[in-house]
Amino acid sequence: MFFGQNETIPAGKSFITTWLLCVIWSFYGQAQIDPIERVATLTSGKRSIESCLIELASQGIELSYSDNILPLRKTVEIKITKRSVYQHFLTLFDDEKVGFESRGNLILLYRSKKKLSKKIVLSGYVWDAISGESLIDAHVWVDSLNRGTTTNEYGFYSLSIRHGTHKISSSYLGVNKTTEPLLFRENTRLNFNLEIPVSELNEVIVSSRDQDVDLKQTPTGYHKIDLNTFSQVPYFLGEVDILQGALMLPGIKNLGEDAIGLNIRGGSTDQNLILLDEAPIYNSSHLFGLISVFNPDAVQQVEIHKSGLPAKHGGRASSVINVRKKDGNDKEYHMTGGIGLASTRLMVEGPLKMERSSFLLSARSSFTNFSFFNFGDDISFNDTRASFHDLNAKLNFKINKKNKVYLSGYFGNDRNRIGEDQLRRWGNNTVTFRWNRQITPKLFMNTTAYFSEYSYRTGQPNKGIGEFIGTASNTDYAVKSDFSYFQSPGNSFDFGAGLIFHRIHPGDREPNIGNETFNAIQLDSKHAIEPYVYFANQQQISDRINLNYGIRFSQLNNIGPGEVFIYEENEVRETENIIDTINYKNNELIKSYKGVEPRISINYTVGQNSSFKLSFDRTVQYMHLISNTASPSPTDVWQLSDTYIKPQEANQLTFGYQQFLGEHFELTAEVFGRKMYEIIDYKNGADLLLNNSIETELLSGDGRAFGFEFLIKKNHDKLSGWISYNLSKSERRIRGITPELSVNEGRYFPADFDRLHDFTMVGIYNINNRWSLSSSFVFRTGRPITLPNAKYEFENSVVPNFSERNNGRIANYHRLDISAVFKGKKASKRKREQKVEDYWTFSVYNVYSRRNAFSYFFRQSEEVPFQTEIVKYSILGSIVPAITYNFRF
Amino acid sequence: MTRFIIIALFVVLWSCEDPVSINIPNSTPKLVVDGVITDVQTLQEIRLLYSNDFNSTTGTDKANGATVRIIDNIGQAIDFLEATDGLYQSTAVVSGNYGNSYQLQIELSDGTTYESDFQVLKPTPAIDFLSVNIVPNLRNDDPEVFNVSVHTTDFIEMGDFYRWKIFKNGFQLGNISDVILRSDRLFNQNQFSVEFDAFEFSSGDSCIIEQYSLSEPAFEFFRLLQIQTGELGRSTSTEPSPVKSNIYNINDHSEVVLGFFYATSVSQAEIVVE
Repeated sequence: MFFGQNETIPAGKSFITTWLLCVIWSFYGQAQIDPIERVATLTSGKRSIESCLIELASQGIELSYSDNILPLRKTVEIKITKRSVYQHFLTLFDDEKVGFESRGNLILLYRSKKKLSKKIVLSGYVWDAISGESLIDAHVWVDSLNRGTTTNEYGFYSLSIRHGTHKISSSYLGVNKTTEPLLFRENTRLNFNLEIPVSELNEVIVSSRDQDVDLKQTPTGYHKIDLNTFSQVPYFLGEVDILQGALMLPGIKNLGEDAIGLNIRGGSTDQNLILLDEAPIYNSSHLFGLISVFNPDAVQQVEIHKSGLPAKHGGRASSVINVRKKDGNDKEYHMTGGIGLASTRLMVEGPLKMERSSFLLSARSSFTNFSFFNFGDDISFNDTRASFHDLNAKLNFKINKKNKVYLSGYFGNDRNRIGEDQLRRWGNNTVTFRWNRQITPKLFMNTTAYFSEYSYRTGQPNKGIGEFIGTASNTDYAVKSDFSYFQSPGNSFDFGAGLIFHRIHPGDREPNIGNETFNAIQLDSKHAIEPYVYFANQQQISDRINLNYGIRFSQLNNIGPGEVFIYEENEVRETENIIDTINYKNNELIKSYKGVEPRISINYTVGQNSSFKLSFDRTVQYMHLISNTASPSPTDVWQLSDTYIKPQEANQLTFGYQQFLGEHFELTAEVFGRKMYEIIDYKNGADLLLNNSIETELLSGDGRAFGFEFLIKKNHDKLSGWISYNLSKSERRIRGITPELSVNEGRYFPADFDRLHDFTMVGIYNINNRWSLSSSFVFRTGRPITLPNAKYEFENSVVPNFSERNNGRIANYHRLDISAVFKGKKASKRKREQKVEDYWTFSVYNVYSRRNAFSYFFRQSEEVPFQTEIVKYSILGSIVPAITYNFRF
Repeated sequence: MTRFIIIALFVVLWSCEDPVSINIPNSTPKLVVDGVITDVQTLQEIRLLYSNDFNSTTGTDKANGATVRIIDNIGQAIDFLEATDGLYQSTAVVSGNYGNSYQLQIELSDGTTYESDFQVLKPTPAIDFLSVNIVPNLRNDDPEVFNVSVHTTDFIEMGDFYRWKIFKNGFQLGNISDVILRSDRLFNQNQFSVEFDAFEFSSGDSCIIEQYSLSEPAFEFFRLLQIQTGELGRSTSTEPSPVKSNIYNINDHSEVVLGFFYATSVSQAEIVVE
């Protein structure tokens, strides 16, 4: 049976709407017309119900009812004379508590608890038939009404339809199922089980219906990272990585090869809201940015919103990256894993109770210690060893048809050791509890409670008297409820509220026992409460125009205990200008900020294949990563907006065009402009470590970014891929009250990651069932760099003199990668019918071994005293081959 | 650092450094002041020179024929005369005194006048002792090399700033990018030690350590200077930035002057490495 359960739900006594059986398979097996659907004629005019029933009976409609339960004397007016018996019933028993049922050719009429409904709500889930995973963004379509919807992030959909006979279709990634014609008379639950091939070499054919939903409902700036496709492109060390993959899409950049974090449409790295099963991740990188914290085995879907941000998400100024983990197979046990140069992975999943609950456990560890040696000056002190581990766990329970709960956790850990005497450990931990409930067929609720923590620890284990331990962390505890009310197809109303408690330990440094050199330093913890509410309405205004408008209200309340330094008015904020300190008691309000964030997006469909889109986003951010290094370091701390650090804000306007060209090609082109306010910058040589008055080291400014983004994708069986191009400019302006508090005298200057051109081409070619090849090429304008304008001597050393920030550019970046996937023969175990699938990935990074510059060094020549040399510094300046083995059984 | 990245097992990844030539626009020369007054009885020295183009291969120009003097907060003055090209020496053997503040005054041959902020001469504690560690030598045939550590007891008051110079067999080691600085923020009033692990000694070498007290602005200046001459350009580096001098053209505060003038006291200790 290719689509799933049609479930009968007994009439409940609670306030919750009762759902009744309406689909009886056996009738359709016999291709028999339900007598309700037969066409009959009634004479027009004002008439009693009884006379109408007699007239129907005279036309061969067999009716059975008892006189005392139906309002036979009631007069009704018949306007339309020829229609189905069902429609006649709707006229006759309008507003009456009457029910009916077909038994063969006979129609039974009886007294019912509820009124006869004219509109029917069709709702349910779309699941993967093989694994039982909920399918997100699957389309559900009603052919006869030319209406459809998509499943939400929990795989749930709800559609209002007319009573009558309809064929219902569902599709996901080109897999399409359609029901037989079904008669719908009551609210119905219809779940779909789609057989999504497990194969990594998947064919994706986008149907015209999928296209239609896409054109009407997908906002601007939206990317879905489909792991089937993205796992086939070449990666550094063969390690499939969603954030490295995201860099191949337009408008998403980073600083370079070992830089942490993404810069999306001119935003800083701390402006991306990165969610893993709804919990924010504060550091998304392992191994200095080479690998992200998301284990590809455990990830089901990744969505990136560069604009058109849903009102339910907030707290970061530039984008939302929403990563959903798999639920775990609830039908069969499976083991998936792989071994490569970067990591070893193993995942186990399976049912706890068949089709009711499942678990998933996925672990990953760096294969060995990565060693970064220096053969230059001093091997014993600069030798760095790094390793990482992460664990994903998930449980889910379908408590009953309306309730489902999930428990999901991520635990990550990175270590590195510099020489013998410095050890650093850091990582994210998150726990998410979610409860999905269908309150009514049209109203869906998700309640989430999560905990997310990022912490680091540094120490000097072998340093004898120098031993100390440094720690810092930031922790969020949050609860939230999101509601979706599915009014009618194309019209839905989302609303919700949440409360986040933030606690930040900006840093402690404590000497080990017996160490009398160091004094303990403990910075005060900071606390804040962030409540928010949001409303969003998706509205189909006409066949062509779809409108999505929402608003989010948020607040940040800094609460005590805490102390706030008061600086002399009109003076530079420096420790010597502190004139007073105010102490706040427990839970006392220190400072409060409000944010009003409207989000609007309009889609205007033109013809069958294209649409124009327009969106406006306003965002407010209350947490900031304080980092004055080129790329954030694991030991950077987050800060809350407080008396002196204002919330960052951004406004963005995007105009987009999307077109499908035949079955295989999809083109999107977008133009955006964004203004950012209260961006944080740093005084020259800012000292951010263990600083209790961090505001004395900060500058603030604004930013602007403009860009044109172009993406053409081809989805096909043999050859697929995409071309992405981004023309953009992003700038910053730091204008303080004195020259020392300004950068470049308060003029706009290019942001560190500003690149005028960014071009990516990706091709995937499936040769046959066992071999596929892929290749990617990137070209990026070199990023800005600060060049010296002079040199001078001081104490017999040469010193470069810098005056303007980002006044030069490094050479352009380009790179070609290739990879090949070879699938093993499908073996089957003798006893069980499970298949063992395995494949090898061979990849070559930087095929032509280009030494792309990360930056330039300006230094004193070793040969000629008092002369300078400029040295190009490349991080991965050679060809890097890698091999990975993956299996699943 | 990180000249090679070895990923365990078979793969070797080169991170590389290649000399390149890039065009850097020329700039107008700026006055550079390299000046200090110490509490040691000696001929105090001030150097005056000019900056030049970054890619220039000729030496820098010196500021000749200037009038240079240092005054203190109690009205005493020390006069300087040009000894060699751009190097000015005090006319007599003198020393600065603890607790006094000093200002450098310069009048160039064209009549332009500059002066520095007043710099307080802070005392530095005596060095308690030096110690020697054996470290494994992975680089060449020498069986073992030695590192020297200084041990000092910090003053009770918070706000002491230290700098050390290391001499091996009479020659100073390292240049400005290796400058060793500490603030007492982490170890105020305790005995502390600093291991000079970037400098290697062999058995029999003599090692002299000079310990200098710095004012907070001088400490900040050296810290910034170290950043500009050291590890710029890596993902873990900060942005290069202008290093602000404490010397101004008295008629035009917007004129950019480079370098620094500071006052310091010195204590010294010596050890023979073995």
